[in-house]
Amino acid sequence: MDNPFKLIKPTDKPPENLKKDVMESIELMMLVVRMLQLFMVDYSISIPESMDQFFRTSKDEKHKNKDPDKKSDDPEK
Amino acid sequence: MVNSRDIAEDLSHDIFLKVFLSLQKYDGKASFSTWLYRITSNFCIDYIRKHKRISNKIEDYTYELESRTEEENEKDLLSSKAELLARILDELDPEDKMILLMKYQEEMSIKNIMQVFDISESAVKMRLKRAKAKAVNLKTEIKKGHG
Repeated sequence: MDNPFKLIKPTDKPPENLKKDVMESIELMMLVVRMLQLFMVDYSISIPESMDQFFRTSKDEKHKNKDPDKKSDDPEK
Repeated sequence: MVNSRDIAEDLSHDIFLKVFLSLQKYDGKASFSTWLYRITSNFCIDYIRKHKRISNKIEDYTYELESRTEEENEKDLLSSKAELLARILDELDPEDKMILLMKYQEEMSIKNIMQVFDISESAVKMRLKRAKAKAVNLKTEIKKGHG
């Protein structure tokens, strides 16, 4: 007995232009992504760097405020 | 699945784009073809749910044939003529249709179907059993309609 599910299985192949359309869409998508990467700031990199910079600066400020009379290591001063 | 060549082509295009965008999420736990099936089936089921009005007839069925064994339902279904089977599948809920096609057309294992639908083995078996019962009920209804 033939499996009727096999008999109704579509055998026609997808059209040739489908692959072309898909590749064109992918190329367009890649172009958009690259343009966005080019013009947008990558916050995942910039935020930790700026936070680090901020804390380092504020730490230095605190140290300066704590020892206002402390002389500089520079012997000329 | 969608019974229209034009829509099938549009969906294929969108599915390939989705696959391309989701490639990073492929973890290699299941085979690539199973993963592809998963994306395709989810995409098609979503599309059909949004665009096709499913016949209320299916919901109204009482499972009078559920008392029959699963083997009897399977035998009944596999003895159907191809045209009748195509009509039955067309009337079925997309998820039921999909699981029957996976099992009997693509001859996928229960394990692969589990991975496609992300459900347990017992859930796959239960869905298959229900899908077969619904299909056999539909077959009876269609035959009654003709008779």
